[in-house]
Amino acid sequence: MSSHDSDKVARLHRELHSHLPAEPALRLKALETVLVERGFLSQDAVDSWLDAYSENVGPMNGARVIARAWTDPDFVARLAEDTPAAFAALLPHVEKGYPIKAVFNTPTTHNLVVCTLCSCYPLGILGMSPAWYKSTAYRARAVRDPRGVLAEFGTHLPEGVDVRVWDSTSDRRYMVVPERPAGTGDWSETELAGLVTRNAMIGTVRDLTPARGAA
Amino acid sequence: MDTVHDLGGRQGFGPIPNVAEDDSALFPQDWQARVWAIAMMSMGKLRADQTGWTLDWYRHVLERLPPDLYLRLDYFDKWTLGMMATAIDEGVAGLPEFVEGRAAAGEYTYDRPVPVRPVSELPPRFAPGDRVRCRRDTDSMHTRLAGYLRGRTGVIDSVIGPQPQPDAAATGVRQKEQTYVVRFAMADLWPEAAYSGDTLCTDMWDSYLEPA
Repeated sequence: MSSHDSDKVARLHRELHSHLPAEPALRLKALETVLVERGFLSQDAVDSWLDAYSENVGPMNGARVIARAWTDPDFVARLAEDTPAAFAALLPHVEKGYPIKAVFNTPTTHNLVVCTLCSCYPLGILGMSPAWYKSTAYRARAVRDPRGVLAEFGTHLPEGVDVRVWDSTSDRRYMVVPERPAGTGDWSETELAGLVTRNAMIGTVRDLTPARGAA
Repeated sequence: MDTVHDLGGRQGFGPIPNVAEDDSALFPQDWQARVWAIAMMSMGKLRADQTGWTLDWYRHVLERLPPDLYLRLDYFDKWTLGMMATAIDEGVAGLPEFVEGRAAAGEYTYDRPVPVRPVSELPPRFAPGDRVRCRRDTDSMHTRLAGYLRGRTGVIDSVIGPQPQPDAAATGVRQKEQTYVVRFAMADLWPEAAYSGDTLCTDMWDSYLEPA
């Protein structure tokens, strides 16, 4: 039963950290061994959970949805209006009703997603977030110095483009839909999906050039 | 509670790390993947067992890591400590067992299940275009009202719908409240953005806001 006792867990953290081995992998081993031996979790279930996660979630899910949005005006309207329904229509294997909202880059707006209070990210659809997204520097700076952060990713916005930062605080997650690159008129949906990068869906990258995506 | 986790707008952190690394692997190291799987499965189980566990309570558990550890430990290592503290708090295992790395006795049992409290919902107080000011103070142990937005004025961008109120959820009370996307001019948040057209949007619960 949860105690909801804030000071109690703070004491537990201090005691655990001072008595546990320093090596994170050994700490994990202790966690897993005790939970399994206590009958709280089963080893096999952990393994199969990981297999299913690696197979079903990852940036490819977002990339497929965005490629469809680039080629189908009805789908883009649906994606804007009801993002979970758009995901469900295209990707039956993703969690139904996953609370996600697509935000669209335009010629005058660039979107950037951060979570300043923890590291909220659409983990259930796009997979694990990159290390930099979880860093204290990104969480601290993205809301105050977004253009400085973008420059460190090699992203320099043209004159007349405003930044819109999304600080993800509730149960809803955000995904950036980049603009379709010029010169891709005859590309297939699969080829287009191959252009969409994870960083573009977070917003640290703006331009997807065909040459860059193919590299 | 204003612990070190509330990082928005803090200065002095320097460049974003790991920007140029190849980070396409879902999990760079095996142990990180296993922490993740164990945490996700444990959370699902605690929720299903109705122990009073909520995601906001777990967020608060992580927020109560000693500030120096919060800033310097690996993300997944923090989750290991968070899951151990959670397991001890729930009565699934004792602290000496994690330190020893093996269970002392047989299967765990919970003390008693917590009855789920009723869910209440109120209609939205605000509509798109309304000007709102964020509350200046928070008195709960956990909140999702970021420090850099307190006392600031913004505009309701859209109504999202009801979601569990996090300050209450962290104490085990499941109470839904209307949520909104609130839009702020960066110029109203930061002195160096005085002439900027940039904006910031964030999700806010009804009780975090007052009419402006």
